[in-house]
Amino acid sequence: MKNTIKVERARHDMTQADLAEKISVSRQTIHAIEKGKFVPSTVLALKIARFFELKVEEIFTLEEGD
Amino acid sequence: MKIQILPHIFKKIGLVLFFISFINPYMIGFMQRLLGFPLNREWSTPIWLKALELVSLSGILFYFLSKEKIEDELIYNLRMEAMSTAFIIGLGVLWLVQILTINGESTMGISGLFYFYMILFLIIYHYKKRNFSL
Repeated sequence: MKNTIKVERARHDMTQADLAEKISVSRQTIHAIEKGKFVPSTVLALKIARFFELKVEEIFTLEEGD
Repeated sequence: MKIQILPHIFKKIGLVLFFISFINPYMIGFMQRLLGFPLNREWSTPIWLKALELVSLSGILFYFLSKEKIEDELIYNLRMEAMSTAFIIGLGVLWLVQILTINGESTMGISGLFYFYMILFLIIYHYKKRNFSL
């Protein structure tokens, strides 16, 4: 699954640590999601989307093979 | 089910208790042999060894019941993965020990199995955590 968290972070001029603090997770979690190493739960995906005021599908998209 | 109910500090306390009491009997024996001291009976009585074992097992319990600094779903997943991997490897090792000692008695007791599981879990968990941080 691909995501545009890094792009959204850049748009909001935020660091991984800033975003992590806002949604109450560790910086490592944000890093792992951005790198595609970890697929977040629906709850966390919704939190991220709500924070950026976007729909979940606008941030997370399925890749071929998913 | 989340069973991490103790504060993060108990993770460190648990580790210290585990390693001190786990290493102690071996260290005492090793030092006595290395330095040629006569075997100090006081440190190797069954009650003393049992007490050390209890402290060590308490350390394991503290460690598994305490939270990380930031407890989130990544940590939860990593912990579960490390636990299941350690369990499967532990079973494999137990199977091997049983095969190798088929004619004799296995020397790996229940405590030994838990110590092995704990060390295996720690290695896998920290390796996975490190991998996700890079």
